[in-house]
Amino acid sequence: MKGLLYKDFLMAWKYCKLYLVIAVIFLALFFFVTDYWFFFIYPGILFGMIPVNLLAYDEHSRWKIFGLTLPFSRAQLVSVKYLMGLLPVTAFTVFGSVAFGIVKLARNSFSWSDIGFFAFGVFFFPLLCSMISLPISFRFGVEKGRTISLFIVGGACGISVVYNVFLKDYFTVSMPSITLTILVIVGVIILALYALSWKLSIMFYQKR
Amino acid sequence: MNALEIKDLKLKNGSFEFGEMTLTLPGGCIMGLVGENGAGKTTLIYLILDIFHKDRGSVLIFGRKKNLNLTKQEIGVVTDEVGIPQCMTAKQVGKMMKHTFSHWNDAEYTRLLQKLSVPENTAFERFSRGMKTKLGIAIALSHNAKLLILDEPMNGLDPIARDEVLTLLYEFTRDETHSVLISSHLVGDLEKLCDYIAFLHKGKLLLCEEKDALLEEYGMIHCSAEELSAMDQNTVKYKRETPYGMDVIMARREIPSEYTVTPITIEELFVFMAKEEVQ
Repeated sequence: MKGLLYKDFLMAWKYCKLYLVIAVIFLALFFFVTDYWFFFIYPGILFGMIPVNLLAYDEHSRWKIFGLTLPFSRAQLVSVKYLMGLLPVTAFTVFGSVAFGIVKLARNSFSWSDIGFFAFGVFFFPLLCSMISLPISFRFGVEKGRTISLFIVGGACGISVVYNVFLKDYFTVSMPSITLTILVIVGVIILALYALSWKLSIMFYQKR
Repeated sequence: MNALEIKDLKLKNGSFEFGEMTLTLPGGCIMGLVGENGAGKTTLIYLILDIFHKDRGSVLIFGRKKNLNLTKQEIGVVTDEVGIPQCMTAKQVGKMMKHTFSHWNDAEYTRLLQKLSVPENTAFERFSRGMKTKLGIAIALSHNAKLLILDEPMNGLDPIARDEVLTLLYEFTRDETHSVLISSHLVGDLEKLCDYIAFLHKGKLLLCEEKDALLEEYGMIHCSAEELSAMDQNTVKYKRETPYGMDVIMARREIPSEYTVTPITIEELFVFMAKEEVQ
């Protein structure tokens, strides 16, 4: 498994490091220019697309067959993609939340519920992207998985634009009304669904 | 102990039907898989490694059926296309394999890269086809494997590289516990290297024999069509019409004394067998 993680981290660094730059720029815009939540959700979704992008690169380099000649189980070959869905997103959430907290402290407007809402959005939206696109990729192929990912990204962007341009005045989701307890419960449900997606992908890939 | 025991292996994949096939690779031996394009050589290798799921039959590697992932620690595989990620260098591949194989030998890997002139710090996407194959061979030989499975390893190699690879395979097989299953179109190389030859044709195993026994058993004679028709047809194994008469393969002991016997090559034998199947 270490070998697989090393390979995927190398590939993610090679092909997806631009996402880091986008994340820094977007977070800076969110912290200092605008409070549109799109600006912190979008970088997270990009990180959530890393696993399906890595699958596409694997397919291009014919790793699928080569990987199965090595002493890895199909479950491990699937699991590394789910870990690549979790680890960069977790790192981004931690650093992003710390940075957000520092900015809030500097403005004398620190609030745990704001941090919690931010961390929730940055952590769980990318997981939604991975948990939907990965089983589809393992069952029907990478192209279909990537198409679904793009629909999710497009959908998130579209919802954000529609909300901020047309609906914000009529329908405001205020952070204080969403308690941390609610976020934790929803978070646990999403993690359980992520685990279910993981199991499903292993089942699909073992049959392929 | 046999390195490989394949029994009644069968797979139906669309219109291509593979098997049923029964084959044994004795421990310490080298078996060559000979067959035309689409004969099923790669399918057989993928079935052994469980890359393709079989419909029926069994595969035992070193007498084991379960825990194939553990068994793969002892198998070195070179596929027709080496599927290393394009951005990785040979050095990074070595690091990955160090975390993959419990008996990975870094020093041996470095030695093989130098011997085969594979650059350590160039991205895989910039490798030529031959260089990619050489990297695959270096990986397969660097983790103390007991069984090598090679699918067309000589493809894309220049004559010097082919000679180097053959030397490495000879060195590998000097250890009597090491076995090799190798498929190749270059039957001449297989003839030099192999103890056993298996002929595949359209997913079926036509023949699997000791190479030396095959070459000793059969011989070729040249005669006219009339002379052929006068022979006992039960003694004629395979025949081919040429502009100059008939080429006939028979068991040496059954060849009439008046004919000059020409030794056959494995390639000739396979071509005769395959064409006879077509007819």
